[in-house]
Amino acid sequence: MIYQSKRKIALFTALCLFCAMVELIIPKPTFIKLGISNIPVMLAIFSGFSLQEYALLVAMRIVSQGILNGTIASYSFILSLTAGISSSATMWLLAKNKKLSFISISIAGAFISNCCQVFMSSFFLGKGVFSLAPLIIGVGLITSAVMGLFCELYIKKSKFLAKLTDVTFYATLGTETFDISRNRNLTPRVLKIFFAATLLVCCFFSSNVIVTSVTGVSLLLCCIASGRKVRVIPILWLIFRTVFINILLPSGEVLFSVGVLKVTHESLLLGIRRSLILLSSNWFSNFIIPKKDEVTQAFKPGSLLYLTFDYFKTITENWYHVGHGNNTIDRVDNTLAASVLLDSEY
Amino acid sequence: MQKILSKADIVLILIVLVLFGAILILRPFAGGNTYVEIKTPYTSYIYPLSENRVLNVKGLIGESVIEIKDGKAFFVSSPCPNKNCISEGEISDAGAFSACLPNGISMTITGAKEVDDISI
Repeated sequence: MIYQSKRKIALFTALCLFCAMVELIIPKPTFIKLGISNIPVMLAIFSGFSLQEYALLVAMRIVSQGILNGTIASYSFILSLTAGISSSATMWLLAKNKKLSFISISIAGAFISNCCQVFMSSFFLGKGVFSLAPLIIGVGLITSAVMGLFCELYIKKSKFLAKLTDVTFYATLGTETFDISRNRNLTPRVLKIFFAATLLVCCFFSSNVIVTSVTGVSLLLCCIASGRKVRVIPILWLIFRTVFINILLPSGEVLFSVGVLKVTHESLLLGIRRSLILLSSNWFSNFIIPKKDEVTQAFKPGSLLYLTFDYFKTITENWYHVGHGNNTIDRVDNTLAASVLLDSEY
Repeated sequence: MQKILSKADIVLILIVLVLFGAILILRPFAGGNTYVEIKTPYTSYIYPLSENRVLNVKGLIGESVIEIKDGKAFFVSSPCPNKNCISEGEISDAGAFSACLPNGISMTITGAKEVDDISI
């Protein structure tokens, strides 16, 4: 692959990572996803990416996000894979029609991807999720329209993107020192993965709630022991959501009713079991994936993933360094300019 | 501000909205879920008719056996003297009712309304 196109892909992937981080910072109800990290993917279509480069960007974005959040070996990775591929493919195909603006492309992409995601998550969360489909898809339509509008404005005003299409990158980052002293001893890691995988399999296939709970909690402890930060609210939210979705399809003895909603014995147990399995797969993934600060060292210097994480680090630093400008578009532009040197003067 | 949306945009957005509307109305995957609600003097149960199962339900004078099979529910056995509940046969349509009065057990078929009407 040409070095230049490699850098371009790495830069846009790093942007996706950065946007995903921004999305986490913005306070909002947990069930609403803004999809900010779709913005760089949309911009890429209009920045002269070839189909090959675009496909690689999409793949890189999903994989690197999975690595950074430590979810690459969990169920949520399958969901983000579904959502990422379906929305990116839709947007690429629609963008062939030059009359369409970002707004409608974004809305259509979000619609398709949310439909696919709802369908996919019914395998993990249970069929009750279809009752929530109108809510999930409806919110997605609104947020995607806002994201599309932002792209529309950004691409018109950005000086950086205008140059990116016809300018070449040259040697860039100051942080790009190739660290040769990589830890090549793989035995502890393999043992770790084997141990965690055994726990996960027990958790998954056991029909006994106690075994499921014990193995799940063991994986959580492994996670904490390995120095991963475990946040309580997302865990509680996932349990609540999964249990709620399963209660929507009642089965078994009626324990109590909340309004018209009847909470039944078997549905409740199924919900708890499913949420434990989902959480365990998250913890398993968190446990076996290297932590954020170790992540750059885990990849070959000069490789696409290495470049991506390097750019991500630089962009994050520059974002705070650049500070609050006049508006968001300027700030994004300045951050990108500071992160990447272009051939011609910026 | 200039026109942001072109004609093509509006057409595409309308298509998406129509599809969204279709999902709202048709609910392609939710399926017409029907349930059987069983009431006993002590507690109540609710099961989907789509899953086959055999239930032993404790009533006033003993245990009744109810079977759910191929979308239908019926009494298999009951400790009552006249066995009316068994001869009543299978019930499957929403609103259908069957009972074993001596044992105090009744069952009703209900539609998926309870689930569908929940809004958050």
